[in-house]
Amino acid sequence: MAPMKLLSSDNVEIEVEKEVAERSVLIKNMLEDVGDTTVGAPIPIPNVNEGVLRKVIEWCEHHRNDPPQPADEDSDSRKKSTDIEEWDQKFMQVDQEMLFEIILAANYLDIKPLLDVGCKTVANMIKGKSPEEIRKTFNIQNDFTPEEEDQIRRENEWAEDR
Amino acid sequence: MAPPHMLPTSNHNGRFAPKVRNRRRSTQLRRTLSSPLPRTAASSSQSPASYPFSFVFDIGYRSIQDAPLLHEPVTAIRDLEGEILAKNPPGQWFRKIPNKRTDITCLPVEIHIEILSRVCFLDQLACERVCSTWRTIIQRDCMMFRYTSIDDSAWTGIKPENVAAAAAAAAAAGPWPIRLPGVPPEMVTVLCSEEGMYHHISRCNGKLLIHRFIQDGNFAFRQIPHSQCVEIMSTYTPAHPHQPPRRFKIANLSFLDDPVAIYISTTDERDIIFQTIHEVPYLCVEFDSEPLRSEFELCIGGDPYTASSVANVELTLPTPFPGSRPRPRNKAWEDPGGTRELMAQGMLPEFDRLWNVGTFLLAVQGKLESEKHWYEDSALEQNERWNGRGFDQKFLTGVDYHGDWDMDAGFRQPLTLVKIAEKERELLALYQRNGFWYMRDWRKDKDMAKMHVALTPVSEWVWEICY
Repeated sequence: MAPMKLLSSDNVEIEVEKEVAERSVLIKNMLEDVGDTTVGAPIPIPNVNEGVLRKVIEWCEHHRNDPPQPADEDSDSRKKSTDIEEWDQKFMQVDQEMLFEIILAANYLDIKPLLDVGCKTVANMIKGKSPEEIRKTFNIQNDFTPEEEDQIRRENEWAEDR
Repeated sequence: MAPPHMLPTSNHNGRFAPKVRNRRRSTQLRRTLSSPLPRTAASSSQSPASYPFSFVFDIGYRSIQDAPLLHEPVTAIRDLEGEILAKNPPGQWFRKIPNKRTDITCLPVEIHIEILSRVCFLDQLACERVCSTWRTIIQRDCMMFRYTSIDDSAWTGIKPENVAAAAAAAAAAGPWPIRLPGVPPEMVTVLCSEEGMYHHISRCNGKLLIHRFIQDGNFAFRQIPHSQCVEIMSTYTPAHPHQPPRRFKIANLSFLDDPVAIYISTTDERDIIFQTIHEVPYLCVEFDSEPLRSEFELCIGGDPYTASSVANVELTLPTPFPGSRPRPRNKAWEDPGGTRELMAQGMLPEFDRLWNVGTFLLAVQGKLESEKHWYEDSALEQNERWNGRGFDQKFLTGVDYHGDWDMDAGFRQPLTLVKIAEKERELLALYQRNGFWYMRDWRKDKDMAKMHVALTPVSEWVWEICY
């Protein structure tokens, strides 16, 4: 299959097979829209830098033969499982910055299975942690107002030591 | 001979099938929480699966809007962001900021919804306490994930003679031990015309939503050291067998107010009238952990009277992300079919109040204590227990043959059942404050004469046996 080029946000051209690139719904639709009028010209991906784009392409190459997800996939069963394939687990063993960059790129490029894997990875990082541990892990600010804190306390009064 | 519309309608199984009547607001059949009379456990003995230790839910009326977790969402993402910015100082803000190192706060709210929707129920409880955005997302978008829907799709295309095999297959496929009714739920549509009346038997289009906490059975009570109070604990079983399970205190008790089970019928324009207990959709849930497995079984089904007393409500159940992409909640909630839904919700006959998860846990705890660790001679038990003697006299007068309630203090004058119910509520509050659970219980043979009132002090024993 003929190769094509993607242009990252930092102006690096990356060659990729069309079949692999079309794992991205965004690129697939773009190619269908423009047809053959821009053969040879790189497709700009302005929101994704070279490092992240290469990583995303690596995932797409590994999953190039995956069957497409059914459109009416049972959302409940999908959400219940946080199981991740072994290869994907290793693929996602990156620092948090890269992990969230991949999620953002998957969202932008409309690669649903990769977004799923990213979200599941973050969900697994949350597993078993207390609220404070979650805040520390992800650097999230506790922004509850005193009124909200009071409301939270009231919600926990059901069986609390009073 | 009775006119045709008065004759009972039987289906091909020889059972009476529920009739369908015109839509009405069934307030006249509504049972209220303030009903002073304790209801007998008759529905237990009539249950399709009578187990000595089972609790049976009578499906009673409750408007779907009354369940706080099923409210129509009121906050769109745009409003949510506005609220965050309006805080002083502004709350946690999720957006990509140029030249800032990418972290989770750089993800848009839509992706946070996707992440949190993949977090399991117990972790969602913790996530609700992280920041106001996550709290809003969990409360608005993820509440339904606290439930597993058990619909009757398992019966589609199944012939009556194959029901048992289908039930076994459905049970095997489920994530928890579960039994489906022995007969597929059915609904009889009665069509009247000038020429006569026609019956059309079809499947009853209903769903049972079961709380995940109940299905897990992964909970335990732990006594807080140097106090009589308890914490509700859960356990994570690690992926690797060499790692020990992690016990943790559940961070957020808001789920205790959740209904244990919700029955939803999506019939349009009509109410269903269940004539016998066997027609009421029911479900038995066995617990997957000892000692609950052998001693406790949850049956949801019950009284046809209350099961028929449902009300029409507008469809408000969320269908999170029905497509493949996250989207603002208000779009996901559009209801193309305009289906109206009926909802009935389990009630707790023994406690004369709604079954919610917290009440259910009290019942579990009481069962454990009363069956295996009953403080027969404790001062509390001697003081408070209703000894069951002279029941007839007690029932009529509110006192036993000693003329009191076998109590050293309190209840010195004859009490009516209304007064007892009031006193129980007072005691519940009093003893919960002091670290005791107070419950009225029925012996396993459901003999009213053996009904007793018990205080069940919490002990380390419960903690140990659950692990």
